[in-house]
Amino acid sequence: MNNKARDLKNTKGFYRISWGLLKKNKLAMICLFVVLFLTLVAILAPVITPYDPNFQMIKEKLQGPNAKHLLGTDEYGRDILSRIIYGCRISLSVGIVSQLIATIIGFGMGVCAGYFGKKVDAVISFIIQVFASFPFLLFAIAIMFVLGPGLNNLYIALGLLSWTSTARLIRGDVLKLKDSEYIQACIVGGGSHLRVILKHLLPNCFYTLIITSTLGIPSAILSEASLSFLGLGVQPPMSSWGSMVSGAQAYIRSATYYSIAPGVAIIITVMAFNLLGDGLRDALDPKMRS
Amino acid sequence: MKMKKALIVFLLLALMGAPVFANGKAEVKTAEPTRKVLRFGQTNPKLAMDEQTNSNSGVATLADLVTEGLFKWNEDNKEELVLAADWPQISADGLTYTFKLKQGIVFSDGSPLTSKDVKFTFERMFTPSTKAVNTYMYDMISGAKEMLSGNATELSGLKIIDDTSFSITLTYPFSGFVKNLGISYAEIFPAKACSEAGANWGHGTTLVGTGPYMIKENDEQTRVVFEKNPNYRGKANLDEIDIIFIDDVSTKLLEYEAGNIDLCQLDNAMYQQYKNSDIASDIVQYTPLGTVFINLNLNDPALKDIRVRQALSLAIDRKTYCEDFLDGTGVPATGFLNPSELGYVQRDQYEYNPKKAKQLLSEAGAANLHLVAHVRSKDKNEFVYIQNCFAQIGVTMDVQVVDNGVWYSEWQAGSIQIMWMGWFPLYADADNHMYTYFFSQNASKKSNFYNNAKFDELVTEARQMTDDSQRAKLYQQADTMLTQEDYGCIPLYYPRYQFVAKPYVKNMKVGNLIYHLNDVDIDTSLQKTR
Amino acid sequence: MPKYLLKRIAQAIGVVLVISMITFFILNIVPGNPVQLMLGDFATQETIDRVTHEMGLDKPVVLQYLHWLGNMLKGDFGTSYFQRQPVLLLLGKAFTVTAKLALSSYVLALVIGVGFGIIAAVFHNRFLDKLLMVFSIAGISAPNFWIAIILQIIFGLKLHWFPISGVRTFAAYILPTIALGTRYAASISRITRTSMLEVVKQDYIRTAKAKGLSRLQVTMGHAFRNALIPIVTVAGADLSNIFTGSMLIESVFSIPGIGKLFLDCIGNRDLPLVEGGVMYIAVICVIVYLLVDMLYTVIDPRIRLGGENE
Repeated sequence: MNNKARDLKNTKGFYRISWGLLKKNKLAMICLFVVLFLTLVAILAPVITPYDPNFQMIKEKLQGPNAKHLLGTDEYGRDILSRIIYGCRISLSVGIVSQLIATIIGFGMGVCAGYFGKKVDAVISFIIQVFASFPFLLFAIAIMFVLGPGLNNLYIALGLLSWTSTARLIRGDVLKLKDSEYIQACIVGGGSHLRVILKHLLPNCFYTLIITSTLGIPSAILSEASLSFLGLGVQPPMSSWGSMVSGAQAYIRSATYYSIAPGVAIIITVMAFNLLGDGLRDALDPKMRS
Repeated sequence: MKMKKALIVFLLLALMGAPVFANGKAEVKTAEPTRKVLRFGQTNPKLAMDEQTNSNSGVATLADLVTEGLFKWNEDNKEELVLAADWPQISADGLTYTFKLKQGIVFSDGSPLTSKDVKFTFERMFTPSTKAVNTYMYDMISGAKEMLSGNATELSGLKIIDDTSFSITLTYPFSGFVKNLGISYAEIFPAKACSEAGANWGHGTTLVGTGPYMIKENDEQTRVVFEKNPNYRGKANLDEIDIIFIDDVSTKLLEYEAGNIDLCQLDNAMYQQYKNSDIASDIVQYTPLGTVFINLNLNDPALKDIRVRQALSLAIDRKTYCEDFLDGTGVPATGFLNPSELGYVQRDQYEYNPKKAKQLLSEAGAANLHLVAHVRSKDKNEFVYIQNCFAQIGVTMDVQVVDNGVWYSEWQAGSIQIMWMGWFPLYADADNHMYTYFFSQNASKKSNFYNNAKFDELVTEARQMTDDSQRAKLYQQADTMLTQEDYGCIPLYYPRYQFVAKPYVKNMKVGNLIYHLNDVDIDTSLQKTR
Repeated sequence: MPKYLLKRIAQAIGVVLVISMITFFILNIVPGNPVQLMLGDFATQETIDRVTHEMGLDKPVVLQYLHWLGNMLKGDFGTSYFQRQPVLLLLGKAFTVTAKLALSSYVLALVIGVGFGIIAAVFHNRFLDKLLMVFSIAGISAPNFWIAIILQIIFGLKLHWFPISGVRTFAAYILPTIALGTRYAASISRITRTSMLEVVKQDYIRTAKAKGLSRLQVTMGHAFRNALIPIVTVAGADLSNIFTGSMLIESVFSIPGIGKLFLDCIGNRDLPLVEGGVMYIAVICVIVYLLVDMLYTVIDPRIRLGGENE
């Protein structure tokens, strides 16, 4: 346990060095650009789609890729490319927002557990165990029912389903940090709990938080795909990639391209976030620099 | 180190060896030239094969091979005599039915069929501990309700006259009684074997009946194997029937293509994929008795104005819907009653006129109508199409997919504003189809709330009449009122289903919803040995 | 230490009980009446009321829960509403199937995952490392139901190598094992590589190298053992995930396992079966959690119980 290394994180120089290391990692940089590109696509969706994603032309349904429809059409004759572009919006927002919620809850719970220790830790660890052992599907049905359908509630539902891993890791971090002389000094030196947490613990947890968020986003996107496959994800006619793969399953033989496009989109996005997360982890980890 | 090398070698061996001992073809039987074996694929109903305790059509496919009732509805949707020797004699007041059983029928365990078994069967149905679910079809038998409430242990309305005759007395005249007896829920069980089996009845191989087949093996998870009943009075065509449980629809069709099953339903969701495939010539279409319609909540302020409902109907081009979207697995409906039913009459197609629809909406002050539909996952696809149709006339409809249990609750509680519904009668009779849904008392439990006193009068009168031509006139009138004048619902189409059968599978036919394999035969000369 | 262990076990039991309570609560507030679902569309209110009473479902929820709890503690998990058979029997049958699939997937995942991870770490930053990691990433990025369907079509239908569905023969388990195990192989390989790399850079490895031990000896002897902790964490989480069944894989391959059973009985509101299934899942998760905790202490006695490393 290298206390000095941890304290280094508080300096601006640390992040500059990390950025430098990251730039050297070609794979991670490619992924960073991919992520930025996807974000751009998501933001500019209304401008760049060739067709209205919900425009149905039944007579042109299930066409393969052609000049008029670059990725073909779905079972309602809607342009698949346009739906994939809008799907980027939905999948990215589902991933980012739900992960944000999960991170906030996870950090809050983890910090309280680690910092206050004893009884608080026992209670929170208990809650974490309950959430983690609860069957995903039953929980999803219950939450979606209680909150109602709709994109906002989907964000919350997915956030509530995935905060436990962040909480566990943060708790571990905080337990270690508590030991360090630096933190002990901060606590003794006076200052409210909130201050210690926000000013001293949070920055030291950034490393973990960045990693878990970056890796949690693809996981949320996959969870949404699974929920859609089971009929619980976004409501029609919205086109999340997960619901497109689910809808395409019925045509997997006569119109294989239909499920390939959103499947590939998911894989690329998820891969990009995962590899970026790896790269970030390598770049930020002080133990890796020597 | 040694460990790693060993690991690599092991993996390579495993990869090489896999195709060798993994024989996908192990499933296909090398057909002995004269042995007729039918392999039918369906979902696992996961229920006991006891049709008193459930109403599942997958169970009926299995159980109806073994047990039989007094009558049955055949695959031409006509009722036939089975265990009954003749149609019952009905007393003048319409309350007492006298039945005669065919002579000399024995169960598969050798015991003879007598009136005692009939009485046992019905008493079992009305014994509370059986937890029978279909009692509403037969509880007009005098004494039934007393048994169900625990006040009697014997069915007073069923009197045994002798070994092969008995009489049943009803509490009110009901012209559908004999029709109801043709449904599998009333299949006759042997008193001795069934009472001995207790809670095990219908599980595993514990099912004894008078039918052409009996159960040889049943692991309740993967397959059920049937063989000929040596005591059957007629001829069973096949030596063996294997019912193989495959819950995933696409997997089931992949198995069919691979030749591992000979016959199965081609679910509508899969039709598009297979209609132009290698097995297209194996497809056989049939028309069940149901009607698909949009259910509207007539109590909802947004839908109270008839012009609004009419506008919604005008927004849908049923021809394109059926031909292009459904790929022909539906025929545009012109009313509620299905073409096979009494009271059906050929009417003009529903008009498709979005312009007129918009006009009607603005007249009704509903130019920016917003609707919320609750659908189950399986109904979603069609409603996305309908959502688009409505969007063209300025109506925005949210399509919310809810889980099965939630949907059911909301539907029966009357809280769904608009939804998809496919309503199928058990047999070809307008009473079972229309009365059960739209009679005001029933409609209030179906988020529909249709309440037209004249309609109620018509269908109640028809329910008690026995002259079919008279009944037809009444039902025709009622249907016109419901669907053409009042727009109590918006009929969309009569569904078409299909199954796929290998060329050597003969005599397969489906009348309504249940796949009966009883008459199927196999032409072994057409079977290739694999 | 035994006192701490007892405390952990008591906590575990508490978790399982709380989960059972929450499940009961959820199934009673979320709409969906199992009796209505059982009786079908045509049943009359009379019949529904009668059967509801027969099944004791008209009693207050708290009483129902206590009744269930009392029976459960005696070992009686009740009878499935729909299938009318003892819940334990149904769970048992489904469990044997899921267990077979889970074990084979897990073995596949461990063997390939750990193997690839070690290779990638040893050849760090060379082509082999990058290749293996791209495969791993792809493995955890693809929706597993999608992989399952592709496998079915290619290997089952087109090539006729393996059965497409069911669990009738040993061979029938192969495609589902691959579909299920790939994802976990991928995640285990990543974590193995990462933790091996971390450990390799540690001082004591340099010391071992300095001592003159061969590279392989260093890898397997020292690095691996110390890398084990995060591997055990991830492998543990994956173990409980695998055992609690992948509903999607079981659906696609028509495997009568716990995942599929659970999926079906939730839609039906088959309460005793849902509770039984939830209990099973909770118990597995809790057991694995305990095992992982104890493994930590075996691997590295320095680790404080209850504190978790990354």
